[in-house]
Amino acid sequence: MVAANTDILQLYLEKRPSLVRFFAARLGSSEAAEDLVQELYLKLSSTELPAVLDNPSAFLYRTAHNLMLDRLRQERRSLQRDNAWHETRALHAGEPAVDDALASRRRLLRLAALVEEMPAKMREAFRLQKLEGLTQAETAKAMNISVSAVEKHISAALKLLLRKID
Amino acid sequence: MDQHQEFDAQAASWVIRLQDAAAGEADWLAFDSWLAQSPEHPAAYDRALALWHEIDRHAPALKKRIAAPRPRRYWPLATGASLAAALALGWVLHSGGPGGSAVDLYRTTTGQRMNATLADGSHIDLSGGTHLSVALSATERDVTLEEGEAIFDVAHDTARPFIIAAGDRKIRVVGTEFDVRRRGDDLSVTVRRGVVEVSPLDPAQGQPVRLMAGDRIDHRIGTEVSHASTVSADDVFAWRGGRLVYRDRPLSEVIADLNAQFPRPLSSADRKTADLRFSGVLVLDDEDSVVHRLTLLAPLWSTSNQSGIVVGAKDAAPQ
Repeated sequence: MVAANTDILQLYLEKRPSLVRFFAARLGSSEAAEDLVQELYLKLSSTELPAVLDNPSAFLYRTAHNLMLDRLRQERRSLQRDNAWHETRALHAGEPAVDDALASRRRLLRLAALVEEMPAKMREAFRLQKLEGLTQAETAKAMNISVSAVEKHISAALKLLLRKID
Repeated sequence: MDQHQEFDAQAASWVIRLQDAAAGEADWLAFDSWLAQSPEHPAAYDRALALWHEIDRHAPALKKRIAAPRPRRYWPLATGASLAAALALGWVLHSGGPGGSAVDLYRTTTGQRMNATLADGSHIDLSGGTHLSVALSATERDVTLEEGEAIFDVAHDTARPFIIAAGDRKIRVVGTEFDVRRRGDDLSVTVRRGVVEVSPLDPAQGQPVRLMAGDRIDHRIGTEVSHASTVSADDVFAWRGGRLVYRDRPLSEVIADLNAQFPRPLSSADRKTADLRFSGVLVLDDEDSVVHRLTLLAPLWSTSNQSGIVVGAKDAAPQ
C-alpha cells in the first residue's frame, strides 16, 4: 500500500467538491474545474509526497493552483490546443453543449430588464466587466473609480440579480 | 434581509472574490471553512455561480439589448390564415427564441376556452381570459401564467423539470429522482430527491424500507442481507456526467460498473483483488486509460490478452 499517499487521497475526496467550486469561479465553468480537480487526483496518486504535511488542505490547493497555472500557460501558447482541450472535455464529460443549456428567451428578457433597472453606476460596472469583458482594473480606470468600488458594484449587481431573477 | 437572502449575499461576494486572479491560498482556506459552516452555503454558492456563468453565456445577446433596448413585446406575425384560425379559438403565436427554444403565447378572451397539447405531450386547458406563455427547451419546460386560470396535465420527463411561474411564486412539478443499480445479484437504490420505498416482492419476506434523499440501500438478491447507508447522492448520479465516484467500495463493484461501460471484459485475478476497497474518481473516456488510472489509484497491476483485461492486487510488501 502507498501509505504516504493514502491520507492525502482521503482528504482529496473530502475536499473535492470545495475545490471544484473554488476553481469554477476562476476558470469560468464547472466543467473546466472538474477537469482540473480530476487531474489533481492523478497527480497526487502518481507522485511521491512528503511523509509529513503540516497543512494538507493548503497543500491540495497549491498543487491544484500550480496545475491550473500550467494549463493557462499552455493555453496561451496555443489557442488551437485550447480548443482541442475544450472539445475533448465536452466529448469525455458527455455533458450538454453550452447552447443546450441556454435558458429560454424569457430568461434573457428578464435578465436584460433587471440589468436595465440597476442604478447607473452598478449597471455601468456590470456592463463593462461582464458584457464588454474588461478586467476589474480596466473597469475601474474607465469609470474613474477604485478597484474595490468596482468589486462592490459587481458584487451588488450579482446579489440583485440573484434576489430578483426567479 | 431574511436568512436566505443573507446566504445569497455571502455567496455572491464569494463568487466575485474567487473569480479574481488575485484569489489565493488564504481565500481557499477561508472559502473551504465557509462552505462547511452550513449546508445552505454550498447550495447558495452554486446558485450564484450558475447565474454568473449563465450571464457569460448570454453576454452577447444581453449586450445588444442593453446597448439598444427594443420594445418589450415583439413577436413575428403569424401568417394571415393561421392567425385567423387561431383567433377563432384563442390566439397562439409562435416565436423563435435563442438556443432553438421557442416561446408560444396562448391567449383566450373572456368566455373563451382552449386546450393545447405541448410538444412534450403535456396538456393545458385554458379558461377564459387567460394569458400564458410556454417555452420548451432541452433542459426545462417553462410556463408563465400572466393572467387567468389553467389546468395542467404534465407529461413525465425527469430530464426537463416543468416549472410554472405565476406572479412572485413558482410551482415546480417534481417527481422523485433515484438511482437503481443491479449488477448480477448486487442491488442498490440511492435517492437524490423525494422519498422511495423499497420492499420485497413477497410481503412475507420483510418490511418496506423508506429511503429519503441521500439514503442508499445495498442488497444481495436472494438473501435477507440489506445494508443501509447515507451517501453523497451526487456521487452515485455521477455516471450520467461520464464519471464514476467511489468511496470505500469493493473493487468488484468498480469492475462490474466498468464492464457495463466498455465492451472489452475486465476481470479480477482473484478473490483478494475483488475484495480490495477502492476510493476514487474515474473519468470514463476509453477503457485503456480508465484501467491505467485505476492502477495508479489503487495497488493494482493490469494485463490484457485476447479475452480481455485482467487486474490483480500487487503484493502487500513494497516492490
